[in-house]
Amino acid sequence: MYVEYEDLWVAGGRWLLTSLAFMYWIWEDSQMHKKRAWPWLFLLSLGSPFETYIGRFYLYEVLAGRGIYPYLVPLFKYDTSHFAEPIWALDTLFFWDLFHGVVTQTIIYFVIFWVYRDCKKSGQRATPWIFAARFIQEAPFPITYAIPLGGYTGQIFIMIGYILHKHGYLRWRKRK
Amino acid sequence: MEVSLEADELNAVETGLAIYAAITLYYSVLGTYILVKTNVISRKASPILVGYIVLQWTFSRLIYIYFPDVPSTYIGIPSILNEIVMAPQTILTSIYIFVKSKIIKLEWKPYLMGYLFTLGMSRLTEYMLYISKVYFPVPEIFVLRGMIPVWVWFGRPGIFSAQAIRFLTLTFWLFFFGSISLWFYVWVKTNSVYGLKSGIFYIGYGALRGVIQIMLYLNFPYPVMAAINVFVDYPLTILELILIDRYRLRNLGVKFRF
Repeated sequence: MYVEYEDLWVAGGRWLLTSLAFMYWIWEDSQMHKKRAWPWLFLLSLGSPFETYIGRFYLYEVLAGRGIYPYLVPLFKYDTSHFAEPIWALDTLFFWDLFHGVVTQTIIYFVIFWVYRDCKKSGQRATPWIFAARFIQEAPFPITYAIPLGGYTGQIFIMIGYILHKHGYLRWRKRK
Repeated sequence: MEVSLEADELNAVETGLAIYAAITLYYSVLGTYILVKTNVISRKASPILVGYIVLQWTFSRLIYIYFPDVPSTYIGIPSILNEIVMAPQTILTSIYIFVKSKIIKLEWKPYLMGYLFTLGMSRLTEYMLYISKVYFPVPEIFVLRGMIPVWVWFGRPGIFSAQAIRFLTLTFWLFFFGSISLWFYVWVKTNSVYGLKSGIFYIGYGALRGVIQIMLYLNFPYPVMAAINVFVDYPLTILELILIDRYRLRNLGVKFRF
């Protein structure tokens, strides 16, 4: 099932948070505090150059020019006699991975949402927090390997950092 | 020995689709809730947003099932259809952010008319190309990046633009003429963002980049080209962000410093 219909298994809706909300909040916050926004936005839009480069080799259109026709995949039927019988194990695994992903993403979004709202209430600058929380989720290679804080582990660090900062235990600059 | 599992597989597919539809609905509602709570969109607009996302997702999955030779519309992953379907959405999203956070002013009525015109053109293009069967497989020479600088707007690398990275496919030109009017409108309305010097530099760099890319495509193997393509847009991304920032801070009475 996963081989034949792999491209069907895509969930929509995440762009609302990953593209619209975070980008909007950073612009708005920078506007309120009269601060520059471009370095934060640029770093966020940096993506992962190495992974992008690798991804270029698997572009749908380019593959066709190289004699590979990915659009034939849904027409392909595999002969189950060539496979180990319990192929359903993979489906189960993918399903639980999917379920875990949904839970993780929800925690991440709510942490950023909460931090942003709290910053707005207290008049603090939210951009560095939004940036950090968003950046560590999809940090460029090899940062993800050097600092493995993807998922909600990183968000816990961000949240603790934010709470410490809020109560005065963590400061960017020394008090004058 | 071939074992037919068609009936089971169909059920599995249906089950899978139902699960992903539920997740799509969940993400849409979650995202919309957060956007409403932070006053990015109004409460009244929220059902429209949720409906739009679910419909878009459904549409893309149906395309994949019934027209497998057409690249499906991923959410956030590149494909030709994505260029057509998602790019207007990217324009709308960007403009919405800039207007709502008071970076630029824009009259919505003509803008939305332009947007709808663009969308209509793109759908027509998509349909024409599909029935004429001309765009598959696309030779690599056509998979070039847009050389017209306005496209850099959503051609920059990154989270809300990574999907729009290949525009000189056969679909590009028709789509381009459909949306240039829209971009012309935005360009004029935000004209103060770009001064004469920066405008010339911006356009010049974009054109130069396009020419260099064509030359590279003709003379270098694909891996070299792909590597250059990854980095060639970063300068324009920085420039664009700096120009918008400079304009924004100037309006707020703050002296811009890098």
